[in-house]
Amino acid sequence: MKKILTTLLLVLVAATFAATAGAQKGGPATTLFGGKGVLAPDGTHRYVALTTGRQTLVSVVRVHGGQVVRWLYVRGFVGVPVVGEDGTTDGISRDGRTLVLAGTPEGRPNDRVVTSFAVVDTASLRFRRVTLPGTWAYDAISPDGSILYLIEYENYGRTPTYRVRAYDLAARRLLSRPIVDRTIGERLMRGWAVTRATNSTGRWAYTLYARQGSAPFVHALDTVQQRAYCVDLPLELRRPGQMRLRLVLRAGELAVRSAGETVAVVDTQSFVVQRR
Amino acid sequence: MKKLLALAITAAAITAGGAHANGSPYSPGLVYGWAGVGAQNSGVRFVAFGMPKSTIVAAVRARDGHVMKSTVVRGFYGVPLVSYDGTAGGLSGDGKSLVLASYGPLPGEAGKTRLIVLNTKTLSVVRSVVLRGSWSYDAVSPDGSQLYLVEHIAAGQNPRYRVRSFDLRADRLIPGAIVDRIDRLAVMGGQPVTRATSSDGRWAYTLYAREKREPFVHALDTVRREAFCIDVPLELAQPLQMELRLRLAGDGGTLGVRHFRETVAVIDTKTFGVRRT
Repeated sequence: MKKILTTLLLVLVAATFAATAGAQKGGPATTLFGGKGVLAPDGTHRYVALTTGRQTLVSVVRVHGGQVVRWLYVRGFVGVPVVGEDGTTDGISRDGRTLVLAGTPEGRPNDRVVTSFAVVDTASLRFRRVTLPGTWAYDAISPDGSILYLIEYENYGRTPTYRVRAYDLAARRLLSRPIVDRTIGERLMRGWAVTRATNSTGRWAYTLYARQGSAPFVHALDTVQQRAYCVDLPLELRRPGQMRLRLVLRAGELAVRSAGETVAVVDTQSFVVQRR
Repeated sequence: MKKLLALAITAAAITAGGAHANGSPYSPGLVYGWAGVGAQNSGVRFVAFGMPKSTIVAAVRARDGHVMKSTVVRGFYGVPLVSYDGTAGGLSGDGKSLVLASYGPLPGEAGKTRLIVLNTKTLSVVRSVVLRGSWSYDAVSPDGSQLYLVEHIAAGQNPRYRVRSFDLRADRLIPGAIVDRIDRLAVMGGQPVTRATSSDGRWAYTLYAREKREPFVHALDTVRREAFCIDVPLELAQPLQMELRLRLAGDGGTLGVRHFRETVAVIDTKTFGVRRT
């Protein structure tokens, strides 16, 4: 009965809050069911997750025409990862071969919390499961689908704290060292993921984080070299204002925009920031 | 032998209906996933997926593939196919009702056939229809009030069936079959090859292939509950009849019977006069 209630609750949570609930609470990033899903890198198909609560159906939908050309069933509740409060979705490697779906952290007997991910081979539509003890969320995937980047939550209360970890999908193991900020060596991160821009090769994932009482920052993750840089943005904005910021990538720079206006520019080589 | 025959027809149904159509020995069957039904005018297609104990129904926007809405329905339903070329049905002309069907028992065997009607806006089930025996979806009236079903009497190479109507507002099966107004026939035979529907969803024209006889078009007026069987004077063996297609032209005034790119006969949809070309 407890299991059924938990499942129902999960379905309700997913259906009601879809992409935003977790981010607003500072909890683990959420997953998306239905809607836009995640677009394949070639733009021809999108992967959309649908659920009965106990089963997830992953559908491959043709962008032009809307036909569902293939699908697969995954036992359990896994959805398309949402990586920003603005609803940006992710989960597909740039080579288009690997799709990652994220589960919701769930309690097991003895209060042991685990988080599951489904890693789908998009050619065969076969999947395997990655289950980790603790509260985790999807962050990014390397262009060739070999390394999965995950957010390990230490605390997801009012001010969530977490670290970015790498999982070697080929070796099927979590790499022991967290991805540490190369500029200041900080391991533990704080803030709410607002929006994400990914470069055309899929190598760099730039995520803008909002913070309470501090300036926002951009977390630049090199998904090939397993390194990251935290770039503080000198913007005097309270958290609600930070939550409205967006990122636009263009020729060697990352524009931080607010209400259609560029308010700062980050050089993607040097990570030097210029206010506008 | 009977079993073999049923299997052969099932295989034919699968081939004709596309990779995701499950075969039925007595009807074109149901389709899961793929194109579902809809999309031409509304821009939305409705797709069903059979899950272990339930069905997921999704409304997919055709222009960008977004899943606008989805629901889970208890039971195992699919989008009904109305002919062996894979034409799907189930959507009313006004676009407000969607009929999904299940597989029933073989004709003559005990069991029930289940259908559900969903509101396309909310995807909620507004009507559930359970009928004893072997039935399949045929058509629905433009306003979604009348459901037309095929009651299967016998399966096999020479199937026999009749078209019945179900009043969805009154929730009852209308007694008697929809009788052919031309030959006064109630029981029909032949394999549904292809379907064309008038733009308002009122007329469902289904071309049937027959063994050792010419094909015919069953013109069903889903508003007036009337049907007309129109023999098409073509000397074609049944396998060639299975290659025929229908195309409405001239604002629905004529129905072209085509064999690949060639129009081989034209039917006047007012008089039902047939002209070979």
